[in-house]
Amino acid sequence: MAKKKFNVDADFDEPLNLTPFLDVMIVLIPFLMLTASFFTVVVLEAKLPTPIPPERMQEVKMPPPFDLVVMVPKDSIKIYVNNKDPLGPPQFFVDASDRKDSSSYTEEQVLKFHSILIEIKKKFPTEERMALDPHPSLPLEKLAQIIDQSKTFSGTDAVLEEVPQFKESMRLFPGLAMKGVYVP
Amino acid sequence: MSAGGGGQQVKGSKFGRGGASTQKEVHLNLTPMIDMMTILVVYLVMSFSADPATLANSKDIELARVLITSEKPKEVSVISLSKDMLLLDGKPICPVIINPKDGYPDFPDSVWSGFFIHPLKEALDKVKENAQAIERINPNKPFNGEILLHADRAIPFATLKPVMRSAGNAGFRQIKIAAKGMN
Repeated sequence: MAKKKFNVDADFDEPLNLTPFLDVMIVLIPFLMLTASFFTVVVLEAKLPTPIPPERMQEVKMPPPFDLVVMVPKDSIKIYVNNKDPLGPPQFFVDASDRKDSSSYTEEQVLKFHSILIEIKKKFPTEERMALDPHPSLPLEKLAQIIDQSKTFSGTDAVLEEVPQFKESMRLFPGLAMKGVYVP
Repeated sequence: MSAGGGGQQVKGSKFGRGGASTQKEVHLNLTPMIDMMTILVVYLVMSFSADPATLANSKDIELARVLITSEKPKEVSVISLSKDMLLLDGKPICPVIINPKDGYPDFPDSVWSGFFIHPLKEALDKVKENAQAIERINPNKPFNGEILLHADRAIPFATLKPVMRSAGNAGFRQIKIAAKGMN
């Protein structure tokens, strides 16, 4: 029986029709480009204060050994450290009166707040707790900017070179709890 | 297509000065274009990830922008709060209205007791029950009380508070606020 001979050369010149492939690509690429998000979604942790059970109330030291409170009215950021007079002036202050009606702080204001927290951290290197007391009108973006600057050091902070333990942990005040969101 | 791949034949026009007609076959090489398109499609499909924050992303919600934080969202339930609707995992919970007293976004009196948003709390209770049932079957997936809050950057804290309280009361005390990382 004679073997069937395939003529390879006969199929060689047959053109491959790329039109359907290109049609699909031209539809698929704009669709994906329109639906894709080109920014990174990150998450900021906002712990709710946990009520202390009555049996543990004896252990709670009053006043607390370290008390850092960040109050955020519409026109400024007020920072109180171990403040005995809650109605008195804050130890540190970031003026944001120019951003009263804006939904965000400027980069300068945010960096000033961050540098104040670094100064406090230098004085109290082992402390990590912070209470955040935002004004009801404070927009989420301003709240997010404050939480963002409070939790960790930035990679560009000069203090990381001065204090190796800060560089190791990168923790600024991660024990941040929201005031005014008491959950029974 | 030629053996090298990616060629479309185009019949050449008449060339030559003396009117002598010579038909030339010009090959349009499509290989680089197809290579580029393939790389682009693969990149776009990879970036089209199915993380909860991306799934819940909508044109109604513009996220806050932050500089330092780089923590990525986990697979948890998502509360979405836009200027006109509150959703849990993409399902509508209640509308958001404008409070005529202060002009802030607020919730209708029918759903809000002044402390909790009842439909949200009930829906979160069910989510918690499901998560705890999964934990009983698979101890490697414990219920850790984490929830992702996906809210518009302009929403004031007064509107966020009842949402956070409802989540906290339902057992979700680890509230993660979604934001755009600018670093």
